[in-house]
Amino acid sequence: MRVIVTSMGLIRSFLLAIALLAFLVLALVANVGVWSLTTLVDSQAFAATTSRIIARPEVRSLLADRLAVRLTELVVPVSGRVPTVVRAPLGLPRAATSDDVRVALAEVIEATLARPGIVAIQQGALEELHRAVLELIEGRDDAGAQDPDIVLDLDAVVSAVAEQLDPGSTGFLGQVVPSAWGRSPWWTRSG
Amino acid sequence: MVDSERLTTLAGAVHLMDALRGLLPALCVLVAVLVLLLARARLHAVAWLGLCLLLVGSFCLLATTAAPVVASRLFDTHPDAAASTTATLDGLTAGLVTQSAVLAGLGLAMLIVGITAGIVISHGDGRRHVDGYV
Repeated sequence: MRVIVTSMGLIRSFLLAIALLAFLVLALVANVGVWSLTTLVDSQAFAATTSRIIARPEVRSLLADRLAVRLTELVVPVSGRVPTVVRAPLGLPRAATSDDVRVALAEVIEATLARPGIVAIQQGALEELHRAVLELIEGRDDAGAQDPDIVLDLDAVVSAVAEQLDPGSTGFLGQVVPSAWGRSPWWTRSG
Repeated sequence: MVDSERLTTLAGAVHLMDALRGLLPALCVLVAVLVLLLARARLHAVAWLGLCLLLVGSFCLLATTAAPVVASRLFDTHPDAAASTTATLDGLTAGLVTQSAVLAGLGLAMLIVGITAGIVISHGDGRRHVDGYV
Protein backbone atom coordinates (compact mmCIF):
# COMPACT_ATOMS: atom_id res chain seq x y z
CA MET A 1 0.00 0.00 0.00
CA ARG A 2 2.86 2.33 0.94
CA VAL A 3 4.57 1.50 -2.39
CA ILE A 4 1.43 2.52 -4.31
CA VAL A 5 1.16 5.79 -2.37
CA THR A 6 4.85 6.55 -2.98
CA SER A 7 4.49 5.76 -6.69
CA MET A 8 1.44 8.02 -6.95
CA GLY A 9 3.39 10.77 -5.22
CA LEU A 10 6.27 10.34 -7.65
CA ILE A 11 3.96 10.43 -10.65
CA ARG A 12 2.25 13.53 -9.27
CA SER A 13 5.62 15.25 -8.72
CA PHE A 14 6.73 14.27 -12.22
CA LEU A 15 3.51 15.64 -13.74
CA LEU A 16 3.93 18.81 -11.71
CA ALA A 17 7.46 19.27 -13.02
CA ILE A 18 6.29 18.70 -16.61
CA ALA A 19 3.41 21.19 -16.14
CA LEU A 20 5.78 23.80 -14.72
CA LEU A 21 8.16 23.31 -17.66
CA ALA A 22 5.24 23.61 -20.09
CA PHE A 23 4.12 26.78 -18.30
CA LEU A 24 7.61 28.24 -18.66
CA VAL A 25 7.73 27.57 -22.41
CA LEU A 26 4.13 28.66 -22.99
CA ALA A 27 4.60 31.89 -21.03
CA LEU A 28 7.65 32.72 -23.16
CA VAL A 29 5.88 32.04 -26.45
CA ALA A 30 2.69 33.80 -25.30
CA ASN A 31 4.66 36.89 -24.27
CA VAL A 32 6.29 37.19 -27.68
CA GLY A 33 3.02 36.23 -29.40
CA VAL A 34 0.97 38.94 -27.70
CA TRP A 35 3.65 41.53 -28.48
CA SER A 36 3.83 40.52 -32.15
CA LEU A 37 0.04 40.64 -32.33
CA THR A 38 -0.20 44.14 -30.91
CA THR A 39 2.86 45.54 -32.70
CA LEU A 40 3.50 43.69 -35.95
CA VAL A 41 0.35 41.96 -37.15
CA ASP A 42 -2.16 44.81 -36.89
CA SER A 43 -1.65 47.23 -39.82
CA GLN A 44 -2.48 50.41 -37.89
CA ALA A 45 -0.32 49.44 -34.90
CA PHE A 46 2.52 48.54 -37.26
CA ALA A 47 2.23 51.88 -39.07
CA ALA A 48 2.15 53.81 -35.78
CA THR A 49 5.21 51.95 -34.45
CA THR A 50 7.12 52.35 -37.69
CA SER A 51 6.26 56.05 -37.87
CA ARG A 52 7.70 56.49 -34.39
CA ILE A 53 10.81 54.66 -35.55
CA ILE A 54 11.14 56.82 -38.68
CA ALA A 55 10.81 59.92 -36.48
CA ARG A 56 14.11 59.00 -34.84
CA PRO A 57 16.96 61.12 -36.25
CA GLU A 58 19.25 58.14 -37.02
CA VAL A 59 16.59 56.32 -39.04
CA ARG A 60 15.35 59.51 -40.73
CA SER A 61 18.90 60.30 -41.79
CA LEU A 62 19.42 56.84 -43.29
CA LEU A 63 16.05 56.90 -45.07
CA ALA A 64 16.83 60.36 -46.48
CA ASP A 65 20.21 59.12 -47.73
CA ARG A 66 18.70 56.07 -49.45
CA LEU A 67 15.91 58.13 -51.02
CA ALA A 68 18.40 60.78 -52.15
CA VAL A 69 20.55 58.13 -53.85
CA ARG A 70 17.51 56.81 -55.74
CA LEU A 71 16.31 60.28 -56.71
CA THR A 72 19.78 61.32 -57.85
CA GLU A 73 19.87 58.27 -60.12
CA LEU A 74 16.58 59.48 -61.60
CA VAL A 75 17.34 63.18 -62.09
CA VAL A 76 21.05 63.19 -62.98
CA PRO A 77 21.87 61.72 -66.41
CA VAL A 78 24.47 58.96 -66.77
CA SER A 79 26.84 61.51 -68.38
CA GLY A 80 27.14 63.10 -64.91
CA ARG A 81 26.28 66.63 -66.06
CA VAL A 82 23.74 68.07 -63.67
CA PRO A 83 20.92 69.88 -65.57
CA THR A 84 20.08 73.47 -64.60
CA VAL A 85 16.51 72.47 -63.75
CA VAL A 86 18.00 70.24 -61.02
CA ARG A 87 20.79 72.57 -59.85
CA ALA A 88 18.75 75.76 -59.50
CA PRO A 89 16.18 74.68 -56.87
CA LEU A 90 18.91 73.03 -54.82
CA GLY A 91 21.13 76.18 -55.03
CA LEU A 92 24.08 74.26 -56.46
CA PRO A 93 26.85 75.81 -58.61
CA ARG A 94 27.29 75.05 -62.32
CA ALA A 95 30.14 72.61 -61.60
CA ALA A 96 27.99 70.52 -59.22
CA THR A 97 28.37 66.76 -59.42
CA SER A 98 25.84 64.03 -58.80
CA ASP A 99 27.31 63.61 -55.30
CA ASP A 100 26.51 67.27 -54.55
CA VAL A 101 22.95 66.69 -55.76
CA ARG A 102 22.66 63.60 -53.55
CA VAL A 103 23.91 65.43 -50.45
CA ALA A 104 21.67 68.46 -51.08
CA LEU A 105 18.65 66.24 -51.73
CA ALA A 106 19.33 64.21 -48.58
CA GLU A 107 19.29 67.41 -46.50
CA VAL A 108 15.99 68.55 -48.03
CA ILE A 109 14.40 65.10 -47.64
CA GLU A 110 15.52 64.88 -44.01
CA ALA A 111 14.00 68.28 -43.30
CA THR A 112 10.79 67.22 -45.07
CA LEU A 113 10.55 63.97 -43.13
CA ALA A 114 10.86 65.98 -39.90
CA ARG A 115 7.74 68.03 -40.75
CA PRO A 116 4.74 67.05 -38.60
CA GLY A 117 2.37 66.97 -41.59
CA ILE A 118 4.35 64.25 -43.29
CA VAL A 119 3.60 61.71 -40.53
CA ALA A 120 0.05 61.07 -41.76
CA ILE A 121 1.37 60.47 -45.30
CA GLN A 122 3.99 58.06 -43.98
CA GLN A 123 1.42 56.19 -41.93
CA GLY A 124 -0.77 55.71 -45.00
CA ALA A 125 2.17 54.37 -47.02
CA LEU A 126 3.26 52.11 -44.17
CA GLU A 127 -0.23 50.67 -43.75
CA GLU A 128 -0.27 49.90 -47.48
CA LEU A 129 3.16 48.26 -47.22
CA HIS A 130 1.99 46.17 -44.27
CA ARG A 131 -1.12 45.01 -46.11
CA ALA A 132 1.05 44.11 -49.13
CA VAL A 133 3.34 42.04 -46.90
CA LEU A 134 0.39 40.22 -45.32
CA GLU A 135 -1.14 39.56 -48.73
CA LEU A 136 2.17 38.20 -49.97
CA ILE A 137 2.43 35.87 -46.98
CA GLU A 138 -1.12 34.66 -47.40
CA GLY A 139 -0.51 34.17 -51.13
CA ARG A 140 -3.33 36.56 -52.06
CA ASP A 141 -1.10 38.94 -54.03
CA ASP A 142 -0.66 37.94 -57.69
CA ALA A 143 1.60 40.94 -58.40
CA GLY A 144 3.81 39.98 -55.47
CA ALA A 145 4.39 36.57 -56.98
CA GLN A 146 5.70 38.15 -60.17
CA ASP A 147 7.68 40.91 -58.46
CA PRO A 148 9.75 39.43 -55.63
CA ASP A 149 10.31 42.84 -53.94
CA ILE A 150 7.96 44.95 -51.88
CA VAL A 151 8.28 48.70 -52.34
CA LEU A 152 7.45 51.31 -49.71
CA ASP A 153 5.53 53.97 -51.64
CA LEU A 154 7.17 57.29 -50.75
CA ASP A 155 5.77 59.28 -53.70
CA ALA A 156 3.95 61.60 -51.31
CA VAL A 157 7.21 62.36 -49.50
CA VAL A 158 8.94 63.06 -52.82
CA SER A 159 6.08 65.36 -53.85
CA ALA A 160 6.45 67.23 -50.54
CA VAL A 161 10.19 67.60 -51.20
CA ALA A 162 9.44 68.94 -54.70
CA GLU A 163 6.97 71.43 -53.28
CA GLN A 164 9.52 72.57 -50.70
CA LEU A 165 12.22 73.02 -53.35
CA ASP A 166 10.05 74.88 -55.83
CA PRO A 167 6.89 76.21 -54.18
CA GLY A 168 4.09 77.34 -56.47
CA SER A 169 5.01 75.06 -59.32
CA THR A 170 5.33 71.34 -59.79
CA GLY A 171 9.14 71.59 -59.43
CA PHE A 172 11.71 69.43 -61.15
CA LEU A 173 10.89 66.47 -58.95
CA GLY A 174 7.19 67.08 -59.43
CA GLN A 175 7.65 66.72 -63.19
CA VAL A 176 9.51 63.46 -63.03
CA VAL A 177 8.40 61.82 -59.81
CA PRO A 178 6.16 59.94 -59.16
CA SER A 179 5.43 59.52 -62.90
CA ALA A 180 8.99 58.39 -63.60
CA TRP A 181 9.58 56.70 -60.23
CA GLY A 182 11.08 53.32 -60.89
CA ARG A 183 10.61 53.67 -64.66
CA SER A 184 12.60 55.53 -67.32
CA PRO A 185 14.51 58.70 -66.35
CA TRP A 186 12.64 61.99 -66.86
CA TRP A 187 14.95 63.37 -69.55
CA THR A 188 14.29 60.41 -71.82
CA ARG A 189 10.56 60.87 -71.27
CA SER A 190 10.54 64.63 -71.86
CA GLY A 191 13.20 64.64 -74.59
CA MET B 1 12.87 48.28 -51.09
CA VAL B 2 12.51 45.31 -48.79
CA ASP B 3 13.78 41.85 -49.71
CA SER B 4 10.59 39.81 -49.65
CA GLU B 5 12.37 36.50 -49.05
CA ARG B 6 13.69 37.61 -45.65
CA LEU B 7 10.48 39.43 -44.92
CA THR B 8 8.38 36.34 -45.67
CA THR B 9 10.48 34.22 -43.30
CA LEU B 10 10.14 36.78 -40.51
CA ALA B 11 6.51 37.52 -41.13
CA GLY B 12 5.70 33.80 -41.41
CA ALA B 13 6.56 33.41 -37.73
CA VAL B 14 4.49 36.49 -36.91
CA HIS B 15 1.60 35.07 -38.89
CA LEU B 16 1.80 31.85 -36.90
CA MET B 17 1.57 33.92 -33.73
CA ASP B 18 -1.50 35.58 -35.17
CA ALA B 19 -3.11 32.20 -35.75
CA LEU B 20 -2.47 31.28 -32.10
CA ARG B 21 -3.51 34.72 -30.80
CA GLY B 22 -5.91 33.89 -27.97
CA LEU B 23 -4.86 30.28 -27.63
CA LEU B 24 -1.43 30.78 -26.08
CA PRO B 25 -2.41 32.98 -23.11
CA ALA B 26 -5.45 30.75 -22.48
CA LEU B 27 -3.25 27.64 -22.55
CA CYS B 28 -0.86 29.37 -20.14
CA VAL B 29 -3.66 29.98 -17.64
CA LEU B 30 -4.87 26.40 -18.07
CA VAL B 31 -1.42 24.97 -17.32
CA ALA B 32 -1.08 27.31 -14.30
CA VAL B 33 -4.39 26.00 -12.94
CA LEU B 34 -3.17 22.43 -13.55
CA VAL B 35 0.01 23.19 -11.59
CA LEU B 36 -2.05 24.57 -8.69
CA LEU B 37 -4.30 21.48 -8.73
CA LEU B 38 -1.42 19.03 -8.82
CA ALA B 39 0.62 20.74 -6.09
CA ARG B 40 0.37 19.57 -2.50
CA ALA B 41 1.37 23.00 -1.18
CA ARG B 42 -0.52 25.60 -3.23
CA LEU B 43 1.53 28.51 -1.95
CA HIS B 44 4.74 26.83 -3.04
CA ALA B 45 3.17 26.29 -6.44
CA VAL B 46 2.32 30.02 -6.62
CA ALA B 47 5.96 30.75 -5.83
CA TRP B 48 7.12 28.33 -8.55
CA LEU B 49 4.76 29.90 -11.10
CA GLY B 50 6.05 33.32 -10.05
CA LEU B 51 9.61 32.15 -10.56
CA CYS B 52 8.70 30.95 -14.07
CA LEU B 53 7.14 34.32 -14.93
CA LEU B 54 10.14 36.13 -13.48
CA LEU B 55 12.49 34.01 -15.60
CA VAL B 56 10.44 34.57 -18.76
CA GLY B 57 10.17 38.33 -18.17
CA SER B 58 13.87 38.67 -17.38
CA PHE B 59 14.90 36.58 -20.38
CA CYS B 60 12.72 38.66 -22.76
CA LEU B 61 14.03 41.89 -21.21
CA LEU B 62 17.60 40.70 -21.62
CA ALA B 63 16.99 39.55 -25.19
CA THR B 64 15.30 42.80 -26.25
CA THR B 65 18.03 44.86 -24.62
CA ALA B 66 20.80 42.85 -26.23
CA ALA B 67 19.13 42.47 -29.66
CA PRO B 68 19.98 45.98 -31.00
CA VAL B 69 23.63 45.61 -30.01
CA VAL B 70 23.95 42.12 -31.49
CA ALA B 71 22.02 43.00 -34.67
CA SER B 72 24.05 46.14 -35.37
CA ARG B 73 27.25 44.09 -35.05
CA LEU B 74 25.94 41.25 -37.18
CA PHE B 75 24.27 43.06 -40.08
CA ASP B 76 25.91 46.44 -40.61
CA THR B 77 29.41 47.68 -40.13
CA HIS B 78 28.73 51.27 -41.24
CA PRO B 79 28.22 53.50 -38.15
CA ASP B 80 25.16 55.25 -39.63
CA ALA B 81 23.51 51.97 -40.54
CA ALA B 82 24.37 50.52 -37.12
CA ALA B 83 22.82 53.50 -35.34
CA SER B 84 19.75 53.21 -37.54
CA THR B 85 19.43 49.46 -36.86
CA THR B 86 19.75 50.06 -33.13
CA ALA B 87 17.12 52.81 -33.21
CA THR B 88 14.76 50.66 -35.30
CA LEU B 89 15.01 47.65 -33.00
CA ASP B 90 14.71 49.88 -29.94
CA GLY B 91 11.48 51.35 -31.29
CA LEU B 92 10.12 48.02 -32.45
CA THR B 93 10.76 46.18 -29.18
CA ALA B 94 9.66 48.99 -26.85
CA GLY B 95 6.30 47.26 -26.38
CA LEU B 96 7.94 43.92 -25.62
CA VAL B 97 10.20 45.58 -23.03
CA THR B 98 7.19 47.07 -21.19
CA GLN B 99 5.25 43.81 -21.41
CA SER B 100 8.20 41.74 -20.17
CA ALA B 101 8.83 44.16 -17.31
CA VAL B 102 5.18 43.80 -16.23
CA LEU B 103 5.46 40.01 -16.48
CA ALA B 104 8.68 39.95 -14.46
CA GLY B 105 7.10 42.25 -11.86
CA LEU B 106 4.06 40.01 -11.58
CA GLY B 107 6.33 36.97 -11.28
CA LEU B 108 8.37 38.62 -8.53
CA ALA B 109 5.20 39.55 -6.62
CA MET B 110 3.90 35.95 -6.90
CA LEU B 111 7.26 34.60 -5.79
CA ILE B 112 7.39 36.88 -2.74
CA VAL B 113 3.75 36.21 -1.82
CA GLY B 114 4.21 32.45 -2.26
CA ILE B 115 7.36 32.24 -0.15
CA THR B 116 6.23 34.70 2.55
CA ALA B 117 2.74 33.22 2.92
CA GLY B 118 4.26 29.72 2.95
CA ILE B 119 6.59 30.70 5.78
CA VAL B 120 3.82 32.45 7.76
CA ILE B 121 1.40 29.53 7.41
CA SER B 122 3.99 26.88 8.24
CA HIS B 123 5.02 28.98 11.26
CA GLY B 124 1.35 29.11 12.35
CA ASP B 125 1.04 25.34 11.89
CA GLY B 126 4.15 24.86 13.97
CA ARG B 127 2.74 26.99 16.77
CA ARG B 128 -0.56 25.07 16.73
CA HIS B 129 1.45 21.85 16.83
CA VAL B 130 3.42 23.10 19.85
CA ASP B 131 0.21 24.40 21.55
CA GLY B 132 -1.36 20.98 21.04
CA TYR B 133 1.48 19.36 22.95
CA VAL B 134 1.25 21.97 25.71
